[in-house]
Amino acid sequence: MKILNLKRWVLIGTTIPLVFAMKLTCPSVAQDVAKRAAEGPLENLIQSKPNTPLQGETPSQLAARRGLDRINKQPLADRSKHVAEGTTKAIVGLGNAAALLPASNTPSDDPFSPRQKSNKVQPGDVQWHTNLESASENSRKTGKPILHFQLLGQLDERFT
Amino acid sequence: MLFSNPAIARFINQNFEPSWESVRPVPKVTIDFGNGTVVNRTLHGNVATYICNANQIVTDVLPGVYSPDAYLDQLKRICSRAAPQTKVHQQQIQQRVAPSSRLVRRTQSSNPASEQLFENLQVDTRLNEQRREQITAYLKAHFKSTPASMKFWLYREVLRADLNDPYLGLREILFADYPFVD
Repeated sequence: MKILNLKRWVLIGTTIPLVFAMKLTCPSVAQDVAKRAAEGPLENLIQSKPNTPLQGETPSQLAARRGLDRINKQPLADRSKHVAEGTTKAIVGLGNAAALLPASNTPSDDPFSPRQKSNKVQPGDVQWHTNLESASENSRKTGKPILHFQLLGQLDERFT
Repeated sequence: MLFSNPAIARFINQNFEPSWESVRPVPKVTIDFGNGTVVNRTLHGNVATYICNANQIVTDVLPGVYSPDAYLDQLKRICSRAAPQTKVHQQQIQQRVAPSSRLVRRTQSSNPASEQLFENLQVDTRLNEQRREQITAYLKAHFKSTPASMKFWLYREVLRADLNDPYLGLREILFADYPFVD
């Protein structure tokens, strides 16, 4: 036990002065090391294996990442413009803007979400006439009274 | 929701010639939380069910939203009250309509949201039943009313949603405590 404690203190005792000395003598190198440590995962994400889906990545996210990878390989000159346009192209091309947004911004129960391609729904199981005149005509034939339903919004559209 | 109920849909299909119309777009509320999260909801949607004869003359109205059971119950009562226009239709009604004194029937649910919705529907149903007295008086005073001729009165005076007002009568409520009105 004492030997293990001794080893630990020796290791700490040698590492701390070494790092301290490095910061004093060459601060830019120390900063660069820290910067690389932070940027490393992002570089891997963008540049390495653009055609291979990452863990938990959806096909649409993979497609967007491929677009970014292509942009990164283009000349530096119009880089910022390309980044902006490239993302828009990726969104339009995918036809599903919500796929690129964080999940928290696109609640699945939001009827107005971009995920809802069409708000048209079947207005219940009632066999509706197209208008009151048509119902009136049929009422004369069948003898049944008319049930006319008025509403704000559209009966055949979701949540309107 | 009402017309997806199989019992209601079946009863309407068997006993009525159904049609529907939109009287105006439904108002929507958008809350932008400022962090990219935006919530959209409808506001103040309201409905009315007219029962008319073949000449589109209104004989009865169910104003506003009813619970499914109460709605079906009222449609059955209307059917049994109305003078049937054919013998076949009369027979159909006699076979199908069972006399009922209850207005609503409680459905079993363990979901608190469903329970709350059920309670709200009960309140609406009771309120709308009270409103029908006003409609009965109107129909007595205005013979040959059609859905088109009475909808503005109905929405303004009974449902408290003036169709001619861009704010549907909600302006005072919306801006009463808000200091930044245009």
